[in-house]
Amino acid sequence: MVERLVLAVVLLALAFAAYQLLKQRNLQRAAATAAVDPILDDFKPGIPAIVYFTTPGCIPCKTQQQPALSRLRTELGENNIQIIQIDAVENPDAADRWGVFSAPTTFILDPHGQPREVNHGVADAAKLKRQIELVA
Amino acid sequence: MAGVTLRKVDQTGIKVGQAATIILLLAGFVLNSWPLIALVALAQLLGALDVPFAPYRLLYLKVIKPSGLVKPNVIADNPEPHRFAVLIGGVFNTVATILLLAGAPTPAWVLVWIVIVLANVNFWLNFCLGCWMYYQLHRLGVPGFKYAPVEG
Repeated sequence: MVERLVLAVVLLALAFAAYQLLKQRNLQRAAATAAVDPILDDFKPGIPAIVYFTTPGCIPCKTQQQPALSRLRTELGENNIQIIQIDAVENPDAADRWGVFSAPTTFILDPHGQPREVNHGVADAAKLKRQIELVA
Repeated sequence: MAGVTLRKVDQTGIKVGQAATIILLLAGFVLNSWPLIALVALAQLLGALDVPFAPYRLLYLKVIKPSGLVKPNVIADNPEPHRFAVLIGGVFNTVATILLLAGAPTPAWVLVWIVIVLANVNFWLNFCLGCWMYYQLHRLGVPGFKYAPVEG
């Protein structure tokens, strides 16, 4: 039983490590493109941003992520957060450049436009707020 | 009316089911216990059938929810894709149980670990592979998969 317990812990740890590595690579890829990416043409320097990738068929985007972003925008105010929404179906090249493989995916950009955090799946308003405050 | 008539889904209830699945399957693996895998398979198959006595439903409605440990999170969503996802997990675990009883543990535990990984992805990242498959099958016009994604 101990052997199986160790194996389970190792497998879970490996899965967790693989995910962290994936996140790291995702951020590096996004950082490489952010400086010149046309989706950030409207980025206003000095204000942290959330780049939000969604698709028309993404249910959690509509029922959870969008309301969370709306709440965050209301809470922080238009002058303290900018949200850049990208439809990954309309703009598959952008999704590819940023390494997006599922929706919703949100990138937290610091006031200089550098990606500092990525969330795969729904990120609630409280989590996004914490991440924004860390990079602001 | 596909894509228009929407039911409510309690996301917390779904999360409780995923958490129970992960814990029981991990326990089943560690204890090398086919009855635990069979129990999860049964719970999932009954959940997929949406019967009132489905174990995960009872666990949530009779134990977890009244305890106040978690808050309900009811949102407009189609329940069918979630039930389809649970059905797939139930089928995997049923096959795994049969394989364990037939003396083929390696493929059985591979199936169980696939369910563990997918349940974790759903629980932590909110990505439901079964739901995604459901909507792909809907797009292809496969009979029975009649609900389109929620319109914005």
